Amino acid sequence: MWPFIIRSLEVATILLLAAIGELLTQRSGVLNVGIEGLMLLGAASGFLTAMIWGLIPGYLAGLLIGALFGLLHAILSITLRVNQVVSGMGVWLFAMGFVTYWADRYSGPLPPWVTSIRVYGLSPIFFLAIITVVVIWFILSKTHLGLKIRSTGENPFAAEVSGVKVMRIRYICTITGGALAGLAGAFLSLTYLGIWSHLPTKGLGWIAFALVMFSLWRPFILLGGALLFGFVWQFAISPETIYAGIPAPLPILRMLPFIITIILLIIISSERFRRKWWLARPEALGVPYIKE
Amino acid sequence: MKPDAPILEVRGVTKRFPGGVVALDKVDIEIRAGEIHAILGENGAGKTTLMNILFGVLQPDEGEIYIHGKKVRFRSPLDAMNMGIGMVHQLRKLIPAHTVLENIILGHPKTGKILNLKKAREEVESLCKRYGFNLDLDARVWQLSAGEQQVVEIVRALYRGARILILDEPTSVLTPLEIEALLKSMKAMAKEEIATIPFVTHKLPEVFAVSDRVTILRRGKVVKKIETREATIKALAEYMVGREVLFKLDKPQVKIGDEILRVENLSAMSDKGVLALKGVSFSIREGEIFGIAGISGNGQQELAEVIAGLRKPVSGKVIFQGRDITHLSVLERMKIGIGYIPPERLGVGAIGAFSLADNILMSIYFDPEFSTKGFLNYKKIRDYAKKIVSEFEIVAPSIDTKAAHLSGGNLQRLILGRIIPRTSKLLIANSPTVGLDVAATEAVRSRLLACKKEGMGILFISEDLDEVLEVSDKIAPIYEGRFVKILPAEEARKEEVGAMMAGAIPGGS
Repeated sequence: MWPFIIRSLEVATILLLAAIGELLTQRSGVLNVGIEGLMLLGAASGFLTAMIWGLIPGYLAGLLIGALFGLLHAILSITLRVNQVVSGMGVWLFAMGFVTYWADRYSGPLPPWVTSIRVYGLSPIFFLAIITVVVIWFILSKTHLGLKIRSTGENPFAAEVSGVKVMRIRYICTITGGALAGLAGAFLSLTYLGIWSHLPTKGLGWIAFALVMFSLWRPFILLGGALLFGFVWQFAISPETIYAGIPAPLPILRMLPFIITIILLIIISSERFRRKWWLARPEALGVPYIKE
Repeated sequence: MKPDAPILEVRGVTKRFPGGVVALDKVDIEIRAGEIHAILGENGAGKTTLMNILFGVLQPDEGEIYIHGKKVRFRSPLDAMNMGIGMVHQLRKLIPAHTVLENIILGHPKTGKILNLKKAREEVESLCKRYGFNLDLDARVWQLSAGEQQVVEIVRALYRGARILILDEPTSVLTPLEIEALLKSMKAMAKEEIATIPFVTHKLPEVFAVSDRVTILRRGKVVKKIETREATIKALAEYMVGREVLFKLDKPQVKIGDEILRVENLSAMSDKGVLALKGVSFSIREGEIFGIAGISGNGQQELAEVIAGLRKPVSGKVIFQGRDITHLSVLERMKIGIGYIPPERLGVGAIGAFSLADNILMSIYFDPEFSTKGFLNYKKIRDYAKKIVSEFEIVAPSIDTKAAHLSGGNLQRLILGRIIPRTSKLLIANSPTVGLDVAATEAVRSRLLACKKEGMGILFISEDLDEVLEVSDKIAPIYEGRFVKILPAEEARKEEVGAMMAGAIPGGS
């Protein structure tokens, strides 16, 4: 049971890091649909760096490349005002092709001397992810910077006449969001998997993206959602760790998480939730800002 | 410094736009500390350009601005704010999802790194008390009425230390009671040497009631500077328009016929999921204009949309000539003679990217005269569009011009031209004159009266109480989703209806 929980929490860590970064980015009004791509890049650069220099440099490489591609998305979508969905998709497609070409030839496990540090079986990155959620919650709701970020995402024109530097805020948030997605990718390849195989993210980035939307852009709901989906994801991979000995056919057990997902989707597509969703949604999300 | 020395001085300011339009032509204005100085002008007189220059959004091509006798240059609104200029926009620059307090402290250097809401609240509250503003600081801005939102903008400017307050059309969305409160606050500010500069297009009487001096702009030039007590409303309007103005329209005497529309106990939700319309009942007869007076956001939009078929009611019935049409589609309603003029001209009333002809087509495409078996007869459509354009006096290069390129007045004429000829029984006109200048307003109102003459019933919704009183046969002040009362026009007194718009119960104190 305990190993299953740990594995689940590791999946939750991946989702959490990527999603909290996306949440911050979206709160400033920028949509980054390319986080799956950012995670792939983070995973590959982290893995390759760790093969040479070890674990910590691997994490840093993931963080850095995430920030760089966050910057690219920022330049495209904020300064050049490219359609944000197109720009994000572009980053994702580029990442899929590039990562396949770049990292697939090193498919296989990490060298044995690269091992993850663990506290009671848990990686410190798990705690870092939790702390990041708390910090971002604090910034958004308790600080002037947070007020500026939220204002930028709601109504950049109103923010600008109040003296907020809209462009700068959006750049900061998009780069930070990218860095966190890159770190999530590095954590995936270095700690959760420990091996490289073709396109290892397998849609986790998209789940993180969806989590942001379901969380109504609130960090603590996001935390709950990430934990839940961490368990669901892990369960789909190895239901026998929990259900060993239970006389039910494995394929049906494997279906459970998806049934849960469908039930959840039905609940949140109710009219009440939809209305709440529209109220919570940053009003300027995805809309390029053009100075008057 | 001399006591009467100007606090703000505009000298010889000229602004040209690409295409050779001279928006401002050597404009001189002096504002003294603590005075209320109205600036009057029609749409296109250069009012907006002047405001944008004073607030640092635009830079003048020629001329200078002096504050306390010192020459200044504003590169951005931030510069203007730092020099003590505050701006109260007509299109609010507020964040609807945030609280009043958050809106006020946003971006202020004093706010510090970590929000100290308690301290900020105390400061804002004392400011409100000093000038007589009444604000719930924890309310979300989207929950506030237009008038309250304006107060938020004023308080925000004062909190930032404004000594000169520019107000864009400050009275246009207020109830009479709110106007009174605003004027009181303006006087309180004047006592503390804060100058207020209301820019006005439509509402002359209020200007008259408060201002010390008036400067009138026409076609980018200052045509008159006058002490208010030496002027008359009629004279001001004529300086502004450049010709004589009809203030009173002749209401045609029309025989009131049979009942066309009956609404029974109608309730509906707003987009935010709040019950916005709460059990409204009334009826409209042929040749009758039923006027709804109220500040927007009190359920009139929902009412109009339910009758037009755009919104589902929660309960109640809509009966049209004895037939229950509550569940009829918009198209079926159009076909039986119901027309709707929405307040959002671009987006609901017309499609900006479509040509005039295509916009007109949208309300006739289903007519067998213009389409057979699904194929459109473009020759007939274009002829019809040309007819409409000349009949409704739409000024445009051709019927292929895009609707987005029309001025507000011409766009509204296009919408009237789309709707009115296809409407035979009931016209729903929701805020048809909002934002239009004097000439276009005149045109819209006389069009409505012509419809009345033809025997149509008209549901007329407006925030402008004077206008409702002027054209309607019956008047229903609406407040928080309910009609406070339904009065025949002869019995409606402005003060009384104004109080009802703000929720006062008739007969009460």
